[in-house]
Amino acid sequence: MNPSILMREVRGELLSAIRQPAFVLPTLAFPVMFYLFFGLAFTMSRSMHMPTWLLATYGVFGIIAPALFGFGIMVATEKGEGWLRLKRAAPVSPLVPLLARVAMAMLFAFLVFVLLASLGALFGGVRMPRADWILLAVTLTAGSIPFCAMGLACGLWLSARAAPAVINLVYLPMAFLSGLWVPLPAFPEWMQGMANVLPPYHLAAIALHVVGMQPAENLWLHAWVLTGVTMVFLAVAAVAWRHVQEN
Amino acid sequence: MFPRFLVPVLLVALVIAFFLALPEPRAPQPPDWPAQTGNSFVLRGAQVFDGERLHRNRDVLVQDGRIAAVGPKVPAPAGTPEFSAEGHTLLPAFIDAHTHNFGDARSDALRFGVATQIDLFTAVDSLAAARVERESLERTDQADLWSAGTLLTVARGHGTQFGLPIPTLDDATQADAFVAARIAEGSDFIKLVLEPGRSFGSTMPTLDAATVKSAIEAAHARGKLALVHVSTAVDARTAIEAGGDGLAHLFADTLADADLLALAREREVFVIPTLAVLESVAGRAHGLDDDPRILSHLSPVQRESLARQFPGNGVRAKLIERALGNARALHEAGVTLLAGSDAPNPGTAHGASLHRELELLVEAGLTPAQALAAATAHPAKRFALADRGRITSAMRADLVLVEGDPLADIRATRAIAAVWKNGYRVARLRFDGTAADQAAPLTEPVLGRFDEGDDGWMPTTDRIRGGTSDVAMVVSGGRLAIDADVRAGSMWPWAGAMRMLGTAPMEPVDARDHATLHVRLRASGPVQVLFFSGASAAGVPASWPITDVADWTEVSIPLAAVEGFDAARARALAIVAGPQPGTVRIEVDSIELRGPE
Repeated sequence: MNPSILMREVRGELLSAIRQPAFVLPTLAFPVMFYLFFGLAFTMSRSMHMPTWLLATYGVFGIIAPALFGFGIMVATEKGEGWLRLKRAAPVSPLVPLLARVAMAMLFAFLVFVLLASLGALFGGVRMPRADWILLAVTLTAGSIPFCAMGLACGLWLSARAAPAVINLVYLPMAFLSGLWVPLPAFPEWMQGMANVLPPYHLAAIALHVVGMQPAENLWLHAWVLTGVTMVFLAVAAVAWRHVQEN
Repeated sequence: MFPRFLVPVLLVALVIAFFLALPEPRAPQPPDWPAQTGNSFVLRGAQVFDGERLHRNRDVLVQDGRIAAVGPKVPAPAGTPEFSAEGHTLLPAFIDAHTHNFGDARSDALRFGVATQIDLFTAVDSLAAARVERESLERTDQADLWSAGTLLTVARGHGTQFGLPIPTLDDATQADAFVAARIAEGSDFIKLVLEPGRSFGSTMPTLDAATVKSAIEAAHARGKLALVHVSTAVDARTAIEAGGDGLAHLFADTLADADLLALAREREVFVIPTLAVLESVAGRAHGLDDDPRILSHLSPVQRESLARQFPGNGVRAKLIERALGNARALHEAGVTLLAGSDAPNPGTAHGASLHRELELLVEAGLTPAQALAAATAHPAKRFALADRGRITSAMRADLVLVEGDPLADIRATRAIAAVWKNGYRVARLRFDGTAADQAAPLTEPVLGRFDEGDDGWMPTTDRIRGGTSDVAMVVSGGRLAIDADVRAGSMWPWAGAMRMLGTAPMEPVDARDHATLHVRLRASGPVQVLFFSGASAAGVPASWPITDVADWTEVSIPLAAVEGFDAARARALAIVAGPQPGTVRIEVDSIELRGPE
């Protein structure tokens, strides 16, 4: 695979993103708005650690959207419009446009981190050692990969019409039940148990440990779950890809 | 055209800049500092007033109770506890240049950042121990003490009215021997009284000029300073002309004339204006009891002392105006002023009133820095206190950390964040009922059965206060036998046995769950049970007399009836003979505290 072709593809994605502010702005604004309302405005009473806790969980919430939507809905749409067929016919590996889109999702994840971290530091009194800030950025950026896989699988399976509805139906309850909006300890016990099967919960657990809000229990387990989730969705996507090709 | 290769470079730089801009946590500030156990530490980032000048953003390294280094970035040996104090000001612990040492004075003072008291008249039997303690770098909850001991006055003169029987002198021929006797009994300097009583609206006998001159010469001949109590400008002139080194009060009968100012300047005398007590004499409110920063740490005794008034103070309202005017004139003339409170006179309290004195010195025209120097470097220099009053290498680590900047607002000295004595952090007792004031509960009410050893009892005598009594203590046959030999020779002789109530010596415990002390004993003479308690380990113990116990008797002492016993801070118990001289054999079979029946 030629890296310069990948770079070109990334630039192309970047340009198309900039030219479609209707996708870029809401995707970034959504987690920012949530964090402002629930992470900062609600905790002006200075329950000291809430802004830090919610920086981790709204960060996870924020990075899921570009991964799921960027992949899921776009892949489904492009599939409907015949773009995928065109790319497949092009003399480059079909992996290149996918990798470019992963890079875009990670770039978005980093932007979400930059926005939330700025707000938390400026208005939420969030203070962390520099290494923890960097580690949180790395966690959130790399943490978008499992959700890219998830989005890819959904996008390849779903039709262009069904994709937005289905993905929203998955995205919002999953975020809520993983404790991204309201800290999990505030949930009734039976609801807490459900989080275990949801990937965002495992990423949030790592992020919460990075910001010093949770002890390092089961850190590797969470990482392995996320790796496993990535593998499973990639396998599902591969099957779907073959399916698309056969049609 | 913008070179394209710069774009990624710029982006990377932007990301790095973003991470550098993200805020890191501040090191814990004083209220959240971890506990400090030893007498070595490094304090970082405070502004430091070294006794004369201000330095911003300094580190101060303390090792084994002494200041080891001061500078912008001081490396500390591994394992040294580090404390961050941004936004705070570190000062040398204060020196109060005019106090009278009674009761809990020294612990009350230290709680308010006064680590050295210059006492200008007290009972001399407290001095022997103080002389040893002030050389030590041990942990202590008390300010160090330098003292004039017994002052020089005439029969029925000022100084004889306090109920403490003191020797007096009648004329100049006795002065030399009298001064020699004072120094022999422990006076660090000499204080003379020139007080005809006029400013109190009465008349009283006082030393004549010839005696003053002879006494000052006698002090100087022995290398001691001579301080003179005056209240009038005329007596101030007499004192200075006779060679006095310092005035223990500011005269306030009239405004100082130019001649007197010039004389004071020329002879380089120092003046301790004691504006805090003059304000009280004048009947002006000190306002200390309105300041929560002061109030929270005032003991009941201090509160009472601050609330007291001089009789008839309303008629002397102009006195404080004249005193402030004289302080301003002396300061402008270049005379050294030293901060002194004259606590515990009515309207003043140990420690707390020094903060008021600083404020009054600023009102009199000193800059905050000059006022602070008057309570640190200047008294240390004038009284030759070698390792105090400044923050430089090798100084004793007697330090006060206050929140804010007292050089901008002198009242910031009251916002005390920490006090160190000999490098140890002082536990500043609170008296407002908050948790910091709570001692751990007393868990073991059985204080002695004497079936297996001494159960923690140990001999005690007045030798620790300079007395000569003896005691022998043995445990046998399930009993504690004490042979006390009480001898006259100190102000309050005793001999007997003592037991701590906490785990550490004199550590306070909460004994409020217990109602009575039961002792089964017999004794060949009168004995007393002493109850050590209260805010200071050095406080005067409460006592309960036991007489007529020649045969075995079970004595039950209701704790509520023991006057002066602070059950919330019980420290130790003692069974002693005294103060009457003689030999007493005391045998104790059992002693225990019991709850309410």
